[in-house]
Order: sequence, then structure tokens, then C-alpha cells
Amino acid sequence: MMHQFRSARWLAVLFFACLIHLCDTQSVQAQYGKKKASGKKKPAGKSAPKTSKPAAKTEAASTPAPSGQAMKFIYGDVFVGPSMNFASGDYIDYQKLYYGTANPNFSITGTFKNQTFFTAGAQARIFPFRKPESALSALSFTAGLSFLQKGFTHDVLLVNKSLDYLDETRLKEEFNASFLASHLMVRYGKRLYAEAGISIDWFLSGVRNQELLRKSSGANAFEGAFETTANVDYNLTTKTMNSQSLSWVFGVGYQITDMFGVRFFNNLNTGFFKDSKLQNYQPSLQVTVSFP
Amino acid sequence: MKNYIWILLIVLFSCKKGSVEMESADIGIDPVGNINALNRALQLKGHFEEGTFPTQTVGAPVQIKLVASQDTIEIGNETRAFIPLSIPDQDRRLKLCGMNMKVSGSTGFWSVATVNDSVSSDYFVEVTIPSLIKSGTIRVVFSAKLCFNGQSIVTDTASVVLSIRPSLPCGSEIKGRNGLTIRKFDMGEKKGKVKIGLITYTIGDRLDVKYNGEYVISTCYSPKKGSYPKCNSPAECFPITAQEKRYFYMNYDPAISRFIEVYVLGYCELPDTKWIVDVGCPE
Repeated sequence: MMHQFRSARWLAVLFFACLIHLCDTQSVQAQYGKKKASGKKKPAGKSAPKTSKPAAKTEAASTPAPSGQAMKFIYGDVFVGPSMNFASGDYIDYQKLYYGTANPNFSITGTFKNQTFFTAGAQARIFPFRKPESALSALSFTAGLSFLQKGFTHDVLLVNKSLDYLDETRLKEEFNASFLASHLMVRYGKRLYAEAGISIDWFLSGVRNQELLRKSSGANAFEGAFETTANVDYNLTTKTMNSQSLSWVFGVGYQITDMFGVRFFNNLNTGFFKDSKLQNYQPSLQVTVSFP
Repeated sequence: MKNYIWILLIVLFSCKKGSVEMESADIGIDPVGNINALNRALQLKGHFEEGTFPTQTVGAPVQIKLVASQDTIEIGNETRAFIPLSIPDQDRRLKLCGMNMKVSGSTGFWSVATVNDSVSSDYFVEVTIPSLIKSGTIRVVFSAKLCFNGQSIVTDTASVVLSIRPSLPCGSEIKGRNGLTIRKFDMGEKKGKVKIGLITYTIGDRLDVKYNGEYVISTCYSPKKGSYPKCNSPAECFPITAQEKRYFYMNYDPAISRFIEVYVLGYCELPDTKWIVDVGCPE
């Protein structure tokens, strides 16, 4: 498990190091290009076409360069935003069987609740078709890494009806697992775009918090009313969790300015637990920042 | 750009960690991992207290022993265990005014209600293991509080091992030796007659079957509702079957209740008893 954990982290480090390097290289190139351009353009004076300057300003990060100019080959994006995890599947249905007690002395009810998290990551976008006039110029391929969390809360209430006073046992379980998702996607569109692909979600770590609350109340409570709690955190490990699993990823986005955009991104995964089928659907609303 | 990426890296590397490793993703309280929750989740008539478990005071004027009449009890989820305890050398002037109970290794304890058996002078503590508790083995510790003239004396402790087992489907067989076994069987959807077989070999053992809160089968006179198969039952309650299987029958209707509870009490006086019970499906 530790080996898995380390490899996922090293993958992240490697990716981010490459991204930093790419950004540095591109910014150096851009500065060099500016210097070169200014050096060339200054002597030419007014003879340089004026239309190219405003075009260069507006058609930047995520939109192709104007006609005649080749687009940049690679772009970088970082994204961050809140997400909500919707858990479903056989695992949930199986756990609900616990509520069906045949003992007339007990009533058991339970609820599963969705969790709100946040997600963040970075990606590189490659434009293989760099002629702006071509319809294919809106097509790009994306590879990236993101940090995401999945989980849910399960609340079970057991009432002991055999007593002549109120006696309740409440067990609350919260699953919270962190993943490093490495995605590969195809994206189409310039300002408005759609994207879809796959992601391998690498399990990093997780915690299952179990909290029990027991209380009795009422005039007949044996030796008076009481309330007590017990709480424990369990490590989620690859004994019960898949070390990596495949997700479907898809989304739509809008590039508001050259640098900033928003996107609605979705991750659908059925490989949370090793032995039980738990499906996690996780939509997220993200702010994207793009760098040429 | 570099700053954003470093922020992401910091987030990525600051993952929260728990203290205990989880064995299964299924719902429930693990007898090993969460003993404090298990102690608090036992279903009984009692009052939970967070303090230290009361035990016999060192140098107390009277040393009184508490004895668990069963060392081990195998119990299924959602079945009610009656744990028999006795105080052999109890001074008649001393009255039981409380029984304390806790799961060994946990914090806090229960002050529990007891049922007194006037014939045997045994005390019974009724405990039900809810389905929220997973299979495993726990040791339950008891001490009794005896009162006389406004004074109280806490007895020595006695303990019982509870082996928590899941319910079984009909068509299953259980085997055992000494001690008390209480198992729950899921009889399925079909209405009909159920055949239950018992082999006790050369030392007799007692069998009782409870359905919908009533004893419907017994090798002895059927205990009344709310009473328990006991060690001090007459000898004929512990039949010797040798190698022959003795059969008992009961009517089953899933509309009434889907589960039956099988109680087997290994012969109390001799330690080498063994038995087999098989529960057929309704036909």
C-alpha cells in the first residue's frame, strides 16, 4: 500500500515539475520572442501590419491564433472548485439490509448523505492541429492530475422498543478518501467547449470515522437519563480500497477571458471499495486559469 | 503559476490519517477496533456511567465472590443472552442492590438491571447484541453491589466470554461443547414444517427453540416466556441420544416471524460434552 501511495505521489511530483518546467520554458520563449519581435519590428516602424497587434491580445491562452499565425502547441491550466459526491450502488443497498430487523424489540432506520468536498489540479493541453482556420484547430488533447476526495455519511438509528423509556443508539459513519486522479481527455471548442475522457484515480489515503451516541431519557429511565459517546477513526487502506480505479470524466466549460474560465466537470467511478460495488458520481464547478 | 502549483502540492501531501486500520467496509462496530462503542451499543436495561468500573475494595471487611455460571456464551446478533451469575456465600442479610457490567478493555460501565431466579438464587443479566455489532469475541466483566443497613460492598469480579456470531440460513448445522449457545436462523420465505435434529452423544445437553418470543421446542418442559434454560434443570432436560439423531418439529410462517432462536445448553456438570444441532428448511 505504501508503495502505491509513494508511486502516486511521485507521479504527482513529476507531473507538476514538468508543468513548472513547461511554463518556465514558455515564459522564457515568450520573453525571447517579444525581444526578438521588438528588435525586428522597431526598424520597420509603421510598415508592420496593425491588425496583428489587437488580434494577438485577444486571441491568447485558449483560443487559436489569428489566420496565418500558427497556434501554440501546448497550454497549461490549473483548476479549483467545490464538488459534491453522490454515492450509490450495491454497497449502499446491502448496508440498508441492516435496517430490516426481524426483532420486534428494535426499530432500525438509516440514511446515506452526500458529502461536499473540493477538487483542484492542473493539466496540459496539446493542440495537434495548429492552423487557426481549420475546424480541427478547436480540438485538443488534455493530460492532467487533480486532487479529489470521495466519501459519504451513513447515519443509523436503533431504538430499543422493549423498554418503558426512550433508549436510542445512533451510529454515524463518515467515509472520506483522497485520490490523485490522472486524466486523459479530448476537448473540442474554443470559448465554449466540451470534453470527455478517462481518469485513473489513485487512492492516497482515507479515514472512516465512526461515532456512536447512546442516550436514554424519560421518567422511567433506569437510574435516570444518560448520554454517552464513543468515537474512533479507522485508516482506510488497500485492504478494503482499490489502489487505483478507472473513472469516466466529462464536462463542459466556458472561457470567459483569455486567462479565466469556468467549467462543470464530472467524475463517475465504480471502484471505490475492493469487494463492494460503490458508485461515486462527483460533479464539480470549477474556476480555470489558463497559461499560454 | 509556480505558487498555485506549490499550493496544490501542499494540499496533496497533507492527507488526514486515522489511528486504526479498517478490516471491512461493512457497516458496524468492530469488537477489536472500537471496543468503547461496542460497550455502549449493548442493548440492555441499564444506566451508563463514564467512571471507573467498581471492583472489590482492598481490605474490605467482607470478601464476597461473584461467579459466572457460564464461562462462554456463543450468541448471534439480535438474540438475547441471559448471563447467569451467582453469589455462592452470600450472607442472607445482604441484598443485591446493583450489578455493574462492562466490556473488558473499554471505558465506562453499565449499572444493569438483574432478574432474580428464586429457585436457584442466580441472577440473570439480559443482553442483546444488536446487528450493528460485527462478529468477534469479547469478554464481559461483572461486579455486584450488595447493601445492608445503608452500607454497600462491591464483590469480586466475574467474567464471561461472549462469542458474537452472525445469523445462519436454514439448512445449517451448529456444533458445540459446554457453555451456552444462542444462534439465530433465517428460515426464508417458505411456510411449512421445520425439522430440527439433535445429537448429544453420551453426555446429555439441553435444546430449546424460541419462535416469535415463545419457546416452541424444548428437551425439557418449555420455559415460560421471559424465563431461561438453566443448569439446575432436571436431569431429563439433558437427553442422551448416543449416535442417534433425535428430531423435533415446529410450524413456521414467515408472516409471523422470519427467524428462530436456537438455545443449546451443554451439560453443566461434566466438561466433556459435545453436541450437534441441524436446522432444516420449512417443507
